[in-house]
Amino acid sequence: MSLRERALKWGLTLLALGVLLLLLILLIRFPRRGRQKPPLLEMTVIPRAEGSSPGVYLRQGMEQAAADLNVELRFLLPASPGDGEEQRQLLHWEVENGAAAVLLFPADRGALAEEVERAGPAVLVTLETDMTGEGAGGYIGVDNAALGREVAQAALNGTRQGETVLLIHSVPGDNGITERLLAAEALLLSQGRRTEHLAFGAGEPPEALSERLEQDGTVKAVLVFESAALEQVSDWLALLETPPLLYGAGSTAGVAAGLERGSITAAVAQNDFSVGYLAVEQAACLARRKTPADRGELTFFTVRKENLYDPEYQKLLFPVTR
Amino acid sequence: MGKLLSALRGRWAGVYRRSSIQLILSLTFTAAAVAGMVFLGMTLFLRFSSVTNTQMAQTSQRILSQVNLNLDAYLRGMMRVSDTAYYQVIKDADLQREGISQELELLYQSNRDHLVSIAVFTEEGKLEAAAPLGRLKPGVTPQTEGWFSAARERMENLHFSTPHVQDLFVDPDHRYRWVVSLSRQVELTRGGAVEKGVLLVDMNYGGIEQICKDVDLGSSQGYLYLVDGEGEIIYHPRQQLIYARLLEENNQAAAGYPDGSHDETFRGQRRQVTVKTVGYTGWKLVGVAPVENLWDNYGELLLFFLFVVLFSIYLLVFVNLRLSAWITAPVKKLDRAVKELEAGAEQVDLDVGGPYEVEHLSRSIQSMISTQRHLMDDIIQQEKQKRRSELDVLQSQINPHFLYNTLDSVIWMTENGRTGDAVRMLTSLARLFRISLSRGSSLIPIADELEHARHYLTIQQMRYKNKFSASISAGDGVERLYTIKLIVQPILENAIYHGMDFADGDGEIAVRACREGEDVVIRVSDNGPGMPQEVVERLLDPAGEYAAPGAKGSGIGLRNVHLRIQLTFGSRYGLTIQSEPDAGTTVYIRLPALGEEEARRERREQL
Repeated sequence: MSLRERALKWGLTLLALGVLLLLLILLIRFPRRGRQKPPLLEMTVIPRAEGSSPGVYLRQGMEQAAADLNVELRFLLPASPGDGEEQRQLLHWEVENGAAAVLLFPADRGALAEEVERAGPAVLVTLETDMTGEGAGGYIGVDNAALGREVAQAALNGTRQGETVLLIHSVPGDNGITERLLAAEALLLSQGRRTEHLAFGAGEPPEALSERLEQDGTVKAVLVFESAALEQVSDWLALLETPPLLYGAGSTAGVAAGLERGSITAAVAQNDFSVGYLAVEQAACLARRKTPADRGELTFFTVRKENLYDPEYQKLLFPVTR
Repeated sequence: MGKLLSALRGRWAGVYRRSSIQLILSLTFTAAAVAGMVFLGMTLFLRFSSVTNTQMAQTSQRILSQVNLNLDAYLRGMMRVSDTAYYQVIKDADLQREGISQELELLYQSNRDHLVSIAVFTEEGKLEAAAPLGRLKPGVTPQTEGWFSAARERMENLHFSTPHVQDLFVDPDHRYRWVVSLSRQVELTRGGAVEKGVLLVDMNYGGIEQICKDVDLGSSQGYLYLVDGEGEIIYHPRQQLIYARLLEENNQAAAGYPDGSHDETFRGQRRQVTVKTVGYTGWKLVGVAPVENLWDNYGELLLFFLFVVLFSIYLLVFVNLRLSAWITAPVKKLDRAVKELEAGAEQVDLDVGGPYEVEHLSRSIQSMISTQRHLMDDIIQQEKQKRRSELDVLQSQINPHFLYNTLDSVIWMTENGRTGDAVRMLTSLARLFRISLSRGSSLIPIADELEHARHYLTIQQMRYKNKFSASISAGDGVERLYTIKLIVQPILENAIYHGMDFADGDGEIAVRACREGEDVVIRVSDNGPGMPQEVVERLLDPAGEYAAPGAKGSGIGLRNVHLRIQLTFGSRYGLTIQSEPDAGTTVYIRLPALGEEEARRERREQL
């Protein structure tokens, strides 16, 4: 076969291949940018207890993010509120079964540290309590100590030196709620207020609180550092004729109602919708080995009855519900 | 820039000079075709994308118009609720005598899917009636609310508020619902007296959402949102993310856009924004379609177009190579033929075919080469003829010494009474001259040439007093053949001068002509002293030296004979000398065997 014939043969072969490719292109549908959803990601959420966390607004944020990022949320609720050991078991079970992503509201760092470390940074994101030091992949929440001091600052405005402030310890154990309490206590003590602790979890009967308040009438203010307990204390204080001032942290509808009727003097609120959304977003990014978008730091603000319905606070406190 | 262009031009000129005509044709054809195709393709594609963008914008506008109609109908429905509450419930009722709560409740119940509450307030902000919740929250002051004062300011008109949390009524479920408030000033009748009041209809957000959500703008990530005249968002599919500051929207700018389609860049994203104002309210429907997504819609087409262009380029290269090969084939064939000619080929096929110009060129080259060859042949022939003529002239000149000596011998013989010998010598001399002339012909029969040699020998024998003997003979039929004249005599002259001068009656010279195949060989031999081989070789060497000046017979005659024969008949003919010292010398004259006819032709050619 001469050189010319060989060149002709190759040329015709390439021509035929080109025609074939052209036909294939006519048949193939190319994926379009931005339309491809990432594969479905199953994400486990382990709250502290049913009704305590996540709140309604926080959950709305989670669901919004889940819809945006093609994530399926699965809530594992511990039977006992604030039980670190049960949370550890649930987390252990999830990790053992190869959970792709876990959102955890830690009840007790001590009980969970080992399991958090085992879960690894690619799987676990915590809320309320920062456990990145123990090996969690991320933390979504405000600076608890700063939030506690903000609550204390509000209480300082309503109390005088030497007066007693009762600090409700609603979530026992080493966690973000306790950090708030300790930071608030430190500020109050430094400003000459007397402080007392009272263990009172959400859902518990208010007898202990009632006894303490009726004991000598020295408690001028009560500080609660999470929504569920704050709502409960608020509801109970609303029944009293001369209730002490109530300050707390939370941004639920119950807290808003307490602020409206005056049973809560001031509440330090964060945008729960943002917290929920960002938590799911970060966990999904970690699980998919992507870098989460930089959304800036979460902030909090002090709400009183007077500014509850300020347009900006409305947008942050009350998620748009249809 | 000028230098760069100059460098590029120079480089192109270099490539142009080094490249074949086929390559240049292929490249230029392909480049021109590709440029044209890309230009045409881009023009079509841009035109197509422009038309598509326009169509997308028109589609968005049509969709927005439809949504606008639906929204307008919905808002008018709400306005009808307000009208019903006012004209059929409030206006006819004397509030001193009858309550209107029940009627409002009925109205609410019949529109509960779209309403959150209906309430009537007095001018001072006191709640007159409300449904479904009937108790104001402690500390609430309706008269300070925006919707209240707006209603008071626009006496005849309805006012639509921006979305806000409904915070008026005590809700045992602590529900905080987002509403859009429709408020108007009304006249309340109390005990026959008319007083001012405000009617509030809180619209459920869901109704607006139902109209605006899932609207397909024809773009994968397109969406629609609703703002009021100030740019405040009323509805957005991701409203809560915007409120939580996790997302931003260009709503303030959109509020300033007139109705129609606009291109904007927001946070680095190019978007096509279509705006439609909702009648009466001043709200604006804003359709957003990211431009990247518009491109995505015909990205497949773009890819296909790109492939078609690439494939066409490939096809063009292929076709152009074949086409240019076909076009340039005659030129290349001509080029090859010319190269062969340059290499010295005698026979080259210059019939290359091809288009008129190439064929004309090949014919011209062919003609030129033919002419050149003829001219060269003529020149060579002329040169040969000239040389031969010179040699002939030289050969035909009688050595003056020979003539003088011969005549001197005749005188001497006459004086001594040897009249017979003198007559014989003069007769031979006369014959010698007659044959030398031969009427101008250079070709004579061998018989004449031998006769010429015989007379020459006769004269020389008489002069040399018979120092040598000579014999001349010829084979059968040889004498009838032809030869160029005067070729034997110079050899005999050499034999006599060099071989017989010292002979003492025993010298012998023999001339023998015979035929050898197609040749005739005349052999001239003597028994003289002979000569060494180097002298033999020098004698016929055109570059060799002649004999020493002054010596008898310089050898020029011998060499002239050799050259004449070769110039006339070719290089395979001529003289061959065999000689050894003391062994005599034999000279072979080789000639073609020319008959009378061939001799006549040869004469014509020489002319």
